[in-house]
Order: sequence, then C-alpha cells, then structure tokens
Amino acid sequence: MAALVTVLDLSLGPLTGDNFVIYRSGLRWLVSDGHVCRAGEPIAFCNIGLRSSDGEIRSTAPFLREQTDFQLTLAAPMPGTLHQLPDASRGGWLDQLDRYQHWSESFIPGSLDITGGAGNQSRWRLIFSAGERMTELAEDRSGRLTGWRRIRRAWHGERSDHGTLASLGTCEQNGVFLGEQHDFSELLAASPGSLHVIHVGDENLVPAAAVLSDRMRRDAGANALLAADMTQAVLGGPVTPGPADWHYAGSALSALTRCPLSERYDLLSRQGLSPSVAVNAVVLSVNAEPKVILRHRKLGYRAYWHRFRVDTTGQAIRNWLNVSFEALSRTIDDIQTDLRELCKLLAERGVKHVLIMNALSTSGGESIFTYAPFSQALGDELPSVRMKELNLMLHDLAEETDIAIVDVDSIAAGLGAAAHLPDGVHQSGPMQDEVRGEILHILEQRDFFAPPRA
Amino acid sequence: MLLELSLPLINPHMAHARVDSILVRPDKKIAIGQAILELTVDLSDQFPHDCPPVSYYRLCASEAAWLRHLAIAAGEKAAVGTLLATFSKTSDEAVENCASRALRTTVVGVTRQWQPW
Repeated sequence: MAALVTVLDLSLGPLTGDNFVIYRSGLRWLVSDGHVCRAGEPIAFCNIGLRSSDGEIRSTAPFLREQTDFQLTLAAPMPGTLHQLPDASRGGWLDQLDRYQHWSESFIPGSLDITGGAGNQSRWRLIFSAGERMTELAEDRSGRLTGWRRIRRAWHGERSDHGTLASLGTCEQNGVFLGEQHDFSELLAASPGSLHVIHVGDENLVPAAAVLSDRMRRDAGANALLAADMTQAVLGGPVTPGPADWHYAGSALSALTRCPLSERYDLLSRQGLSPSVAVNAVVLSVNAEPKVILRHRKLGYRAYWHRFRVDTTGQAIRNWLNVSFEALSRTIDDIQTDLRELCKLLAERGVKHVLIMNALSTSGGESIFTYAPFSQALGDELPSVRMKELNLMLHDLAEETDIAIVDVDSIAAGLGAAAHLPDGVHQSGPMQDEVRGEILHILEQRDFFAPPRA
Repeated sequence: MLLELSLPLINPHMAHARVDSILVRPDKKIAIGQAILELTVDLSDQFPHDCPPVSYYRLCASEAAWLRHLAIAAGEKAAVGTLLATFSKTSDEAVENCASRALRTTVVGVTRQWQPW
C-alpha cells in the first residue's frame, strides 16, 4: 500500500531583532523544484539586514562590519519533496540586496511533500552566516560566504544558547570547518547542540601561538606604533611598492592590528538578538607552529606568513620582511612555552576549551634504515621526527593544562595517509569528516553544548 | 659491478624533482649513510597550487660505492626514473659496462635552513 503523502506548507516563522526591523532579499534556491530533501538540508538562502525604524544603520548597530553579506539559509525541517513557490525568488539584485522586503513570519516560500506526520514542524529551520570582507572592494555576491573575508562564521538560528567555537589554524582547518560547500553545512548539521562557529583563515597572518598571543596583548597604542613603523619601513625602503605590495601590506596590517579573539560577534536567532557573544572554545593546529617564525627587530612582535604567499608579493614587502624582521628559531620547548602562554591568555578571555590538532608524524616517502648519519638533533633535521616530537609535546602540555588533542595523526593512520593525507596537510573529504566528528565529540565530552531542552 | 642511481618515486603524486645540491664528487668513495643529493619535490610544479606542498629530501647511500659518473647537475630538474649517477663497487671498473642493479639508498625527508627572501 502506498504511503500517504501530506503537503506541508512551511513558513519563514518568527524572527525579531529587538528594536531593529528585519529586511530580506528574495530567496536564491540551492536545490531545484521537486528535489527530494534530507532533514536539515539547506534549500535556499537570502541576504538579510537589520535597520533602525528610521532605516539608518548606526555605528552601534549589530553586525556593523558584516551588514553587506549577512545571510540566512533555510533548511528542511524533515525529509520531503520540495515545491518552490513562484514569489519566493525575484531574481537579479532583488535576490541579493536585503533592502526591498520586510521579514514576514507567515510568508511561505515553499512546501514539502512528506510521508507520515509533521509533528509540530511548520516552518523552515534557520541557519545564519556572516563574514567581514577583507576590504569593501572584495564584493562577491555569487553565493553563501563567497569572496575574500577576514572572518567567516555561521550559527544555528533556532535557539540562542550557542556555544561559540573559533577555528584558528592553517589551511588544514579550512575543509574541516567550512566543509565541501565552504558554508559550514556539515559542521552545523553534525553538531549535537546549538553552535556558532567562526573560521579565520591563515592567508593574512599564520596564527602560530606566539603570533596570536602578541595580537591578543597589543592595545590600540601598540597597534598604532606597529602601523606607523610598517608604513615608514615599506615606503622608506629602496623599492617603490607595486600593487601586490599594497595588497599584501593592507591585509597584513589588518591582521596584525586586529585580533579574532577581540572582535564583536553578534548573533540573531528565533529568540532575538544576542549582542557580542564570547568565544568559548578554540581549535588550533600544531601545523601552524613552524620551527622558524619572524620577530620584529625594533618592536619585538612576532609574525609569520607562509613562504609561498611572500614569494608572490612584491619586492617592497620582501624587503620589509628581510630588513625589519629577524628569523626566530624555536625549539620544541619554545613552542610548548608559546602554547602554554596562549592557553593562559585564552583562559583570561573566558575561553574554556582549547583543542589542538596534532600532525601526521610519519612519512611514506622515507626509507630510513639508520639514523646514524644525522649528526644534529634529529628533530631539527628530519620533519617526520620533528612532528613526532611536536605530538609528544602536546601530550606533555595536556598533562599540565586542560587542552584537548585532536588526534589527526591517528585518524590519518586509520584511514590511510597515502590516500587521505597525501602531503601531510591537505586532507580528503572523508578525513575532514572524521576530524570534524572528533572535534564535535571532544566538545560534547567537555559539556561545551547547552543541554537539549525538555 | 656497476650500480645506477635513478630518481625514485618518493611521492606517488610527483613527476619531477629538482636537484638542489650534489654532495659527492666523481671518483670518490661514498660511505654507508653518506648523503649523495638533496632534492626538492614540489607537487605544485605542474599546476598552480595555493599552499603548495613542497618537500625536501636527501638521498643517502645504504652501501659503500665509488661515484663514477654524474648525469645531472645541481639546479636541474629530473623526471622520476631519470638516471642521476653511476657508481661502481671498485674504483677501477670500466664504466662502459651495463649496470647490474640500483644503488641501495635511503630517502630522507629533511628540513631546510631558513632563507630570507
């Protein structure tokens, strides 16, 4: 006997932003009409905006630096076949600019053909995303969280009791956090509780522990001094800066003088506006800890950029780095000290959970039969030994602090590093899924998530 | 007995390697464990790559032999399987003969010293 099919009209549902009026664009569909949806699958998105009743955006407004790309995704509350309503999408700029429609909780953008009961589900699930552009010139409205951004973030929109998790590492964390669509879909779908996730890329400044600590310690005065010194050094050097130098200088200066742990993160959910939420947990990576980082000769601050980024910039920046900085070589103990200091600073900021991803500690490309020919300390010469030492250092650190180790090394070994981590850093999709699951598991074990409602 | 050293397939994704330095000289004896060549394997050397996976390796001898002929110079790029050098077990063996087998080597990933730009 065929199952009974019910047409379930799903509304946008209530959404209020305290004293602000909520505007939205038309919807952009992510799946086609007639698509068979999974529960939780993103099906459409729009841009939204919060305006004062007079239509102004004041300097105290929430999402101030993210207003242009504040987005909302509708996700299916249950499995079903989608029927799009024709008025939901208006096409063109009207689906990209938030200023032409008010939020209406009774508006029904589409329905689902479902089998079985709908329970109390009568509206789409909400997922919000936002991200400050690296520069206003980096406009890219082609999709969700597209374009060059200082920070990308997303959160569940049904409840306001979010745990806030920040990803501060190297490119290995991009896929783990952002997922295959670069929109955090997988992480949010797999999360056992309300989650607000922040991802900061490493292109502007690699967040080694020492670098991050210095950023957290610098106040406005120190940042102004840093900016003045950098300006003088780049402009006063022997080479006239070219376009690549200016781009690099702008992004580097922005990263050096701002800190992702000091940013204002506003949230909006069905339960209203939550201004300036605190970061509760961070995920770091031991791959962000190279042996050598840079130290400014005069001001003493530490910084590090990937060599391949510097190689492709202009001579003025390379000259600035060569002249103004010295190479700071670090032992494993030095890196442990840097991580310990960072953990202390994070705790002072209210961060309760520090997770550190360890590194692949073996190399399939090696065939070492004896270590006798290597005269130096092995870890200084052999990366595979250094990675083992770094991983062991994390265990020592875990003995004396409350960090949690995300055992990437073990996950790679289990899946097969040759197939899933061929260069030691860049993971396959299945491996990203495993690492993502492990991070969520650790957070759940540490009571990071608010308990489910009765 | 003549022995050949060819560029090994260190990583299944590599096609080439750059010979950065040659650490032995022709007609000199190499000892077990002695470094012969230093290589750079850049998996982005065929296609542009954000965050290029670049690795550095050292080829070391796992047996004693005499270096008789170098087929490559420092700075040159070689394809996997390219003959890099010929060795012999004795110092006076004629190098015109065919090699009997590959030189036994150790492949070691290494860290390079920091270089300014």
